[in-house]
Amino acid sequence: MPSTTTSNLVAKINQLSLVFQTPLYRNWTLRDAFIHTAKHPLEVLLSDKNRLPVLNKLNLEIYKGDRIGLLGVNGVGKTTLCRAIAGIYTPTSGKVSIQGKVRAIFDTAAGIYPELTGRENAYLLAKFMYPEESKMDFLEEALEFTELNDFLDTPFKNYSNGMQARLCLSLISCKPCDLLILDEVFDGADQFFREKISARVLKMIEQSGAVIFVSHSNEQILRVCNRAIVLKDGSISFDGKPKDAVNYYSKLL
Amino acid sequence: MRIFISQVIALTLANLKSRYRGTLTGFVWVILNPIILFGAQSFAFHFILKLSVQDYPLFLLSGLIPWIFLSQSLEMCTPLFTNSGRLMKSISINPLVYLIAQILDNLINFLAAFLVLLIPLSFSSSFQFKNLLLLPLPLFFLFITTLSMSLILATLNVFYRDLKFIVSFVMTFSFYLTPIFYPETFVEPQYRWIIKYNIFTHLISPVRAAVMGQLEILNIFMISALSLLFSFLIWRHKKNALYHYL
Repeated sequence: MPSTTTSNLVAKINQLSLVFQTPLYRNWTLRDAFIHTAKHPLEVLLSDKNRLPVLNKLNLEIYKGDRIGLLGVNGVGKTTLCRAIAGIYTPTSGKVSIQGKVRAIFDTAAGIYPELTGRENAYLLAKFMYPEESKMDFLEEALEFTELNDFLDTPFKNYSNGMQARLCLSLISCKPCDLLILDEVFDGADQFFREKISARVLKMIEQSGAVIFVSHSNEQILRVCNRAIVLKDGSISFDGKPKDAVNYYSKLL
Repeated sequence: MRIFISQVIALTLANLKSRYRGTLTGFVWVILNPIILFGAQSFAFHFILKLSVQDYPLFLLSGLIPWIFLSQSLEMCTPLFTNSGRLMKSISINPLVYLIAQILDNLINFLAAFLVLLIPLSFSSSFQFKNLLLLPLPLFFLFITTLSMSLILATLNVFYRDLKFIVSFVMTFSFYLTPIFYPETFVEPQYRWIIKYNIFTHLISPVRAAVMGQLEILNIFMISALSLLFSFLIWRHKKNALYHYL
């Protein structure tokens, strides 16, 4: 369980709400917008129809050493919460405050320029994942870890999902950080590499910081995490030991 | 800021590399494209239509090449955020870095084509190399305006995906309504207003004036300041909602 001293606090999420302003079932083009506005002038001005609440006044404190497993059904807001913590989404209301550096990856097929080689993409990704590092000397080690060898110098677009996952996961786990967010990222890699990369990630977590781990595999949550959270209806409905969380979650279904 | 700049540089270089990866001659295409366009137009307008403009090749070059930079940047950047939504939601990346890198890439290509064409022309025309000293200022304002307009278009395109098509069609007809391959003096007085209120006229003509040895930057300065302000306001207002539509 988390220790309660504030000096170990890595992230504090206070009353976080996130409402998506998005068209719900339309292709929103200028023509549609025009017709819609002409037909329902008042609705456009006043209605809340295009607002999709995802997170609702969520509170969470993350401490150093926490390995939090995040459970919840599809669409409940797991990724949205993680993106808000990573600073990609701005909260509609509430506050996310982070002590230190967050590293996150949400899509292991993310190549910046698919035309370029894996090595070149790795360099660029590292530029964004580790913006504060001026020397890229850790890159070689990470590339070696992928075991992609000659494939590193072939275009990223030709990689299989698993190869892309290898590259991205090795990069994200190069250096310890204060908070690492892994959102269903192990799924692409093969069994062998999954073992290898979780060992690497675990080693990095031990060195510092906390981790948020999203997975649909209970087995993985139980193995990796020491704390687990169940998301339901936009807020946290359970927070405790992974074993209890998995039990609680399976009763929800 | 240091991080921002280093990311922009890395991305610009990668952009340059990726654009012509897989082609045999690589960078040559970058320069060849505007050169061929320039060659075809100067042949058509100078030798076939016989437009009587002094130093026509130089005149055309100083209008056409900046126009290619401007129109290409706007057309390439408008769908930029829309197309890179997956990447922007997958790692923490400042969209501005992405946009600036794209425009810098275009700027480098533009300067290369410009210089390659200017050198042979300088022997056969009245062009004087000291006029190059006048170029940085109009080019700087052209860059700022292109950047601001691209930011506005790229942002709004996420919300209104029609914009991409509108931009491409506006740029096509603006080419004919902007004094690029003809001088402003050829336009009948009753149509002058089209040229006068065409924002692109004021972006292109300072570059041409500089090549011809004159400095006229008041209009382009005001346009760049205004568009920078607008783009800042729109960006500040929309940058959070942007991600909801990607």
